[in-house]
Amino acid sequence: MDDSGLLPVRVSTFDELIERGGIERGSTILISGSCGAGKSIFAMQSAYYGALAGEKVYYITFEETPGKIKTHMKTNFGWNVNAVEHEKKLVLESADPFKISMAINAEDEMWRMKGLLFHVDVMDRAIPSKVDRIVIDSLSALSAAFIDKDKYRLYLKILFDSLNRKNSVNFVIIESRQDLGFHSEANIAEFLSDGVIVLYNIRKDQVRERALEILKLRCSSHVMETIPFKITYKGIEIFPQERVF
Amino acid sequence: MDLKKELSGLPESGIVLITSPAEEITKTNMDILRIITGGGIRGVYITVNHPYKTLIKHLERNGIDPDNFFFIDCITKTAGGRAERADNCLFIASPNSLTELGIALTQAIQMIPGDEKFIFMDTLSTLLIYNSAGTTAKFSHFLITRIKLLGLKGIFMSVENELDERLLSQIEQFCDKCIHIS
Repeated sequence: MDDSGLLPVRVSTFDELIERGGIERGSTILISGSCGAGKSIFAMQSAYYGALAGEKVYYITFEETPGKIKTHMKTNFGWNVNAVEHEKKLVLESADPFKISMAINAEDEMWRMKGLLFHVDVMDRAIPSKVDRIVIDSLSALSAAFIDKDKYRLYLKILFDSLNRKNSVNFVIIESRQDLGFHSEANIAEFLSDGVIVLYNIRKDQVRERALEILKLRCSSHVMETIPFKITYKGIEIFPQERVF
Repeated sequence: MDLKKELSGLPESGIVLITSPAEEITKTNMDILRIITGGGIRGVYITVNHPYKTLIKHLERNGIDPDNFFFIDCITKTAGGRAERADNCLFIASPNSLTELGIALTQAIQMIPGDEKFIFMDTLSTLLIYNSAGTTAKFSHFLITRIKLLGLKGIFMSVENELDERLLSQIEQFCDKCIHIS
């Protein structure tokens, strides 16, 4: 672990794309991409290898159940999430986005408090000491649960504020449109985040190719190119020397 | 034309573009491969025309040892063939998966021991069936630059008259030598 205030991302050669070789603690990074682009794999790879390196990781899922995630990660990439969970390095929990939404709608004047309490309390209870890395998978599931989009935007503001107060690197997953060069709808999440990593799943006639780019990163300069990557039996493999055609 | 003489003058990291009439291209390919591998060099064979399995048989029939190559097969999967796992071949989804082809080439080069290696591409003109002329030119430039940076030899085959004039002149300027077989 780096004591300089930087935390490596630990996803293949991703850290080579960042001049400082990692992300500043206290940063919240959006992982944006279309369906099947590899967002959850990216986040879990970072979480898993972080945990293996001795970090404390908290992963909250609003979509797949923890059991399913563990099975898929073990089957596809050989990552033993159960083992790092058993060693209390990684906590993988699920939450129902509709319950959060309902709680907020039920007591209007208290909703800020409830939103904050949910995340801060759950995280603090899960990992009593410090948290190095937090993953929220995903905002899209949360967004779908909110009927009132103004409340959702305000909720996001509080969520990002609460994450940024932690001395951790936080990854927040969001689904976006898939076209290369058009990563997402302009939204408050991008504005609030300290960085945006976009994963593309590009269709070329009958086949698809994957690529990623760092669209924004406040803590460091970074490569500006779109870099190809593949999902292999090792997880995400990034090829900084290659080009997307 | 004395192909052996033409190819022997090539510098260590030289790139040569060879155009041949369609009816001669298969024979020309075999002649060139016999000359290069005869010098004891091993290389990467990028095939856009013949599936790996067919190519192996073809090489053997022509007295060329397939063990001299690591193959990148861009056509088996496109043609709906079964890409069976092979120790000396990487299968690409399609000839328009140029990003994947670039990645595979880097991996294939690493699989071949030694410093002196070659890259053989059969054939550049077939890429035009699956890619635009602009993309083909961009990819060719990337590939040729990569081969030069690695200090390798590159032999790019093309069927005569299948590359349009503009594309041909673009690619020719990236190459160290152009051989037109008539």
